[in-house]
Amino acid sequence: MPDGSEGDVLLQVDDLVKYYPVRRGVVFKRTVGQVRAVDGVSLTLRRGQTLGLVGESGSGKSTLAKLLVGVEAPTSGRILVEGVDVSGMKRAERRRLRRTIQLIFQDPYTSLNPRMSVGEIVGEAFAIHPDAAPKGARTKAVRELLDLVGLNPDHLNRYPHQFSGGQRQRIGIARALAVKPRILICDEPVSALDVSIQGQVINLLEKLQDELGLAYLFIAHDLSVVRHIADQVAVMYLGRTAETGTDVQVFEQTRHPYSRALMSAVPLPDPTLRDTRRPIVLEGEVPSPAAPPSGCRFHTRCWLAPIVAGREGGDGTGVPSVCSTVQPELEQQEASGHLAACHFAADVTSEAVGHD
Amino acid sequence: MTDLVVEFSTADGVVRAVDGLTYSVDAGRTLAIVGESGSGKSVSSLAVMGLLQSPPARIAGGSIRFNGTELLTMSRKQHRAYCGEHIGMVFQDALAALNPVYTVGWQLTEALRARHGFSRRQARTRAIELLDMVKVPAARQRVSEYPHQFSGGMRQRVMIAMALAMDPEVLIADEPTTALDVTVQAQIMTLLAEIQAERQMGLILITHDLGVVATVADQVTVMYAGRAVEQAPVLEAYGSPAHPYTKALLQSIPRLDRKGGELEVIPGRPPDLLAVPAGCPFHPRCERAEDVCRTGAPPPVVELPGGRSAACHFAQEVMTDA
Amino acid sequence: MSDQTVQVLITEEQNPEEGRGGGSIWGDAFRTLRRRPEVIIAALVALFFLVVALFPKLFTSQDPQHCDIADSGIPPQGFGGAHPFGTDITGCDMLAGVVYGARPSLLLAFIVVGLSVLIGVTLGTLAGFYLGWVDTIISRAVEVFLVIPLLLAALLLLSLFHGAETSGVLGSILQPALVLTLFGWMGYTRYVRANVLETKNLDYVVAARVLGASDLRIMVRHVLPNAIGTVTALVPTAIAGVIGTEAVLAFLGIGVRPPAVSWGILISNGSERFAAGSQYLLLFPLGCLVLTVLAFVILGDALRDALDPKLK
Repeated sequence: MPDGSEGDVLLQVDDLVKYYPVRRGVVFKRTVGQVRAVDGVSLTLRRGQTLGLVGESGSGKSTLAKLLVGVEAPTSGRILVEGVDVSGMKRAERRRLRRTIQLIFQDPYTSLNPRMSVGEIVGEAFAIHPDAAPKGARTKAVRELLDLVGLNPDHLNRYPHQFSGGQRQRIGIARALAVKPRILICDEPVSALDVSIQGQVINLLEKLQDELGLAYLFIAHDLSVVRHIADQVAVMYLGRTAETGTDVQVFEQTRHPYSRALMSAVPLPDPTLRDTRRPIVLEGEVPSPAAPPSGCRFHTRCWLAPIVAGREGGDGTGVPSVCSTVQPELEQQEASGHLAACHFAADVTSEAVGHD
Repeated sequence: MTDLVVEFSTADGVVRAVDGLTYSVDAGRTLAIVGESGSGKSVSSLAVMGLLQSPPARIAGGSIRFNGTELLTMSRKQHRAYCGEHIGMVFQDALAALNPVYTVGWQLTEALRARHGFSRRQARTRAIELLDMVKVPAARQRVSEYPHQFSGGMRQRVMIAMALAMDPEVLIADEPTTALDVTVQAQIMTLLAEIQAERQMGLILITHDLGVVATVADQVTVMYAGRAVEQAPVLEAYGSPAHPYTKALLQSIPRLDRKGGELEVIPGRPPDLLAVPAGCPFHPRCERAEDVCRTGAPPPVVELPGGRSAACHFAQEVMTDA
Repeated sequence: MSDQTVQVLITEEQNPEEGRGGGSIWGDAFRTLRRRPEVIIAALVALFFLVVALFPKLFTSQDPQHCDIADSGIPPQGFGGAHPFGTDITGCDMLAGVVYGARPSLLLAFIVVGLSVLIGVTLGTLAGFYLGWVDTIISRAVEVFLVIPLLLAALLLLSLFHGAETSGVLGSILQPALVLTLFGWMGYTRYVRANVLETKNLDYVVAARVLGASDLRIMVRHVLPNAIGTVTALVPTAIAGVIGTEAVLAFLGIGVRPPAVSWGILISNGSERFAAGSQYLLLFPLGCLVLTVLAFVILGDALRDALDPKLK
């Protein structure tokens, strides 16, 4: 990847693959297929940066999060944290690694143990990593963390059910921050919250990033939120990266027909745009990752393919043969760091949509 | 619907989930009811359908009229039967709303068979028609499949087909696309718009997504703590909101089409319905709040030009500020 | 649907600013318990039978083993007479029997249920948490023990060891206790395994893993406390079940060893005489059993509610 860097690379992912075997049989389990949840994803995350990861269900973004925090082991590929390959690590080293990468969950109702008080939840990190805070200073550290995320430190002895969704999300953030991580993987951190609360949590995350120099991998299906918070954006479709680049590159100089469709489908909160903006309605739904389409994974739903096929007079299937046979690689677009995996990336902008 | 009041008795006291809500929807028009959780937006639609479980729920006042027929004075059974004929409803969670042990076709036509004495053959034909109408591919085969064999988007289509089975004049859609992916959401919203235009149906869309509202609604009702705080045509509501809550809500959401700095968020959170603040329920979170907002009764609904209204002492000023 | 709505409303109603804070979970549990009158009554009943079991001499001066055939079949005389609950056909005092029968019965029930829960919870947690071969072995073992008929196995095992010398209350119940435990742990294993399967994938368990918590810590702190709820509900009825089974074993002559008496033995004897007009012989021990079981059911239920922070 070309070096458009400002900060040092904290997290690098090379060609990461995760297949889940599909097993059948009662006594003797046979592997009858594979779900290709993540199928060759590469990412780079720098200090203080936010990488927005966008995709629909089945795109593999949540699996990617699990791989990065070490809850799942990759089938192949490398994860480098601060330049060190995770797969070669010993147990003790891996425990230290846990402190570098932490996870923020989507559902504030299942992410906190209902039988532990807030103090116990946030303080558990210190029980697991005794060197993170000296024994006498733990309560103080927990109080500071609660204060940092905008909660009343005196609520230490309360239980999760006594808090609202937004507050619970803050507790989850405090728990993650306890081990002083450098990377936060945020898996849909605001999508379960009320509209007026979403903004509060987003602002908190931005504040924490400024104060603590955190890097975020921000996974969301809500493109507006990603647009707001991310510096870098990666669009995923069926386990592969469709397009990646800076937020301006991906959102304004879109080079992949899927990203384009995704963006056009987001309803804008502005009724005056209603008549000028028409969404690209994709046919059908995301195919199963157990049997991804051949060639370009998006070709079965692609809106651009028929246009190109019509222009080039293809074989009558309505899809250019290259799309259904050759898997497109991520290729450099005009601007540095802007990559898209489409055989006809150049046509995405010329085939203007939404303005006809 | 006028002055609807719905109360819930809970272990901790009586909760007014809906407090004096008035709205109307005309044939072929779309009314969006917007609000956060607990604002009463879903409860009000359940009241219309006679689906509130009582106890704990109790409709404490108001009236719901459909083409001049009062629904609330009917017996529960009549009410449901009447709604079954005239009003369709689509729920957020299609998987939970469909019975997993019956085929989709059977469920689609249950009402037709029960009430109109359709034969099996007639019912099947009608079910296929309905699935075709909501653009379920291969309707002929899929009619005899079970809900779990359908994807999320397809199930939502089945729900819509089910709501349309009785040719309703009004369709209530309660967060119909919240659980769906963006591209599927676009499909469903397009489908709803087409069906509505074709049948000149009234559509009541209950949602928290201001983007969806801006795209499809004609009229908006913004709810807060059980009350309608603002009612206006969609262009006006977004262009010059007359209630501080509407205004703040619009400012607080991130936008796809522009990159902003820090979001201007509304401080605090929606009130506890057991302890709604005195005066205007929004005052603790409102940047405009003055003494008059903090005490006494909630602010009266102010009628504004252009068929709009807002429940704010300063509606006029808020509107012209924007 | 409307149920759900109410649920949502209620969750939102909880105002954290005014939430009840402070205190330990057990302290809170105790405070909640005090507000329920049936709990207090149940606690008193349970306490009463515990005292009876511990200090039988406080309640009767008669020796249950001292039976005079001359006093055979005296009906209950009330608390003024020599035999307030009457006597059985061999002239044994019923009150003394019931009083002295409490200890072996309750002890047996506690030992059996305690051991079964311990074994069941441990195995169930391991099976659900690790799955794979651990689960295969444990689950197959559960099935094997479930298909063996309890009475048949008990009959076989107990008659095998019938000759062994024993002494004291503990000795007299040791064999039935071991056999009943051997066939009593499977239910808990199954419940716990199912609950652990459900709990272990919840986000807060993943969160603990991401923090680097050890398997033991995750099991003890996060999975078990949230997976054990249904088990506490099973315990009181299991206690009743054990006392009942003990009665059957006594009936077959392989339960608690005479000369020790137990409620099971009394119930078994009493039921033989029930049709013959001496209903009281069955009703007294049975009444005690029912009261005890009810008390434990209520206590178990209340304890579960009280320990659940969501219901406070």
